[in-house]
Amino acid sequence: MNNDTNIEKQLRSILSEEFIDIDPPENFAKNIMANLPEMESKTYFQSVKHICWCIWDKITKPITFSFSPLQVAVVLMCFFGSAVVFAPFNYSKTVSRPVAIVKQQPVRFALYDPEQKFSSAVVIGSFNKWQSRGFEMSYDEQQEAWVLEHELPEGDYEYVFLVNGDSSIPDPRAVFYVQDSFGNKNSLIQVGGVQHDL
Amino acid sequence: MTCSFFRVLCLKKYFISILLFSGLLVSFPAVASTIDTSAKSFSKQVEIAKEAKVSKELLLLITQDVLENTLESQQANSLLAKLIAAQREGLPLSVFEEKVIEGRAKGISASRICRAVNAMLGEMLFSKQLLQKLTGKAPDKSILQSMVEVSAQGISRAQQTTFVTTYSSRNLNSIVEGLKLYSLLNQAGVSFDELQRFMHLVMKDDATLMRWKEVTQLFSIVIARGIEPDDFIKKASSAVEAGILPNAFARNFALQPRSLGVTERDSEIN
Repeated sequence: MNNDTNIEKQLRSILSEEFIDIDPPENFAKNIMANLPEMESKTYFQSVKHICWCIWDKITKPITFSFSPLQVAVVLMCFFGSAVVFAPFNYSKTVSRPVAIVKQQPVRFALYDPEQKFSSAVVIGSFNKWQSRGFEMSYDEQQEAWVLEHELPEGDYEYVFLVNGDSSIPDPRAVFYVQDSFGNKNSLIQVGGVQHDL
Repeated sequence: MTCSFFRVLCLKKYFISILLFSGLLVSFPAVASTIDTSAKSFSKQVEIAKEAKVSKELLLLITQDVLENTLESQQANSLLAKLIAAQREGLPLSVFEEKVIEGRAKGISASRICRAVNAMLGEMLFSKQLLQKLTGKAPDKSILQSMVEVSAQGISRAQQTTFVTTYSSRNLNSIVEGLKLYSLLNQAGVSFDELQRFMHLVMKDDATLMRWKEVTQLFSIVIARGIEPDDFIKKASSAVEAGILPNAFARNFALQPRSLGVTERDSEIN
């Protein structure tokens, strides 16, 4: 039980650091309460005005209807029936095809190199057909690492760092790997999903 | 006596040189014809590969390697033969093409690339047979592509067979997605019992699996920070059982409880 609480504590600490949670401003609730208008006693004219406003509000705001599945089925049948009867002959030509939108997500690659052993570092992977152009990393003195931020479409990708132009190394920080069939490993990255939803 | 001995020796030397020279003359056309045949068969193989829809980009790369002598035409022939065989078996060529491109980008020798393509071909044929037994028809290319990824994640053929047999009632896409998740968590050190429990829970329906396959992202964050794989998977299993989605699961841990200035007592009174 104690161990369980301890793990929960650790998880809270890790995930709250990972997924930034914005704190509300100071005296958030007090300020809202202070800005609310005070209740006043209404005159006859104000009451009429209030009723008119309520009616206007009712007729301009969307209303929620509830249907039974049978009602929905009948309505749909009527709708499609009338569509078949009254539809123009070249209907199929007028229908536009849905366009697939590829969602891009920001991804950050980092290769820790405090002693600056590498003269250059590039990310190559299945997302860029293993070509280095456009994926060159730059050295960040503060972080003591080669870094690159790039947007990638959602999906699972294999990648390695190509250092000094000729040797490839997998990401030491990656948890998941795949065998590359050449006796080495490729790191795995999953773009999209939970991590980017939060 | 000595003089005649030297004369015989000299004659013998001449005889050997003549023999060697004639041997070279005889073998030269044979060697030349072998090179010529190899080059001819390479160009023929390129033609066949082109017909088999091997990508022009890859054919160009292989031809370039042959011309620059970084790849022997015999090796190139064998590589193309494997690609053609893959196409004839109905396997996704793009996987093999990408492997060749990856190998070249990493500076891997041609012979190792050929071996890798051969090994992949074997794995893919195994997956094809395994899934074909299950459904009675050849699986889609995309499914086979995913199966290659699964076997590259380090899962054995026996484990693949057991998983596929256990969840044989599910559709093929779910089985492959489940297998991917299983192999990743297995690779990351989740114990057999915890993994079985978690997989049993997420494989109950497609919606649960499709949402929870993303758990690997959270897993990689927490494991990198020292949480034991089993401890995390136990928590995740409890969340699946409770019907909580992975983003809500992460949010529950990520959001800190806080006071907005209204005490519990005040809110009870109101």
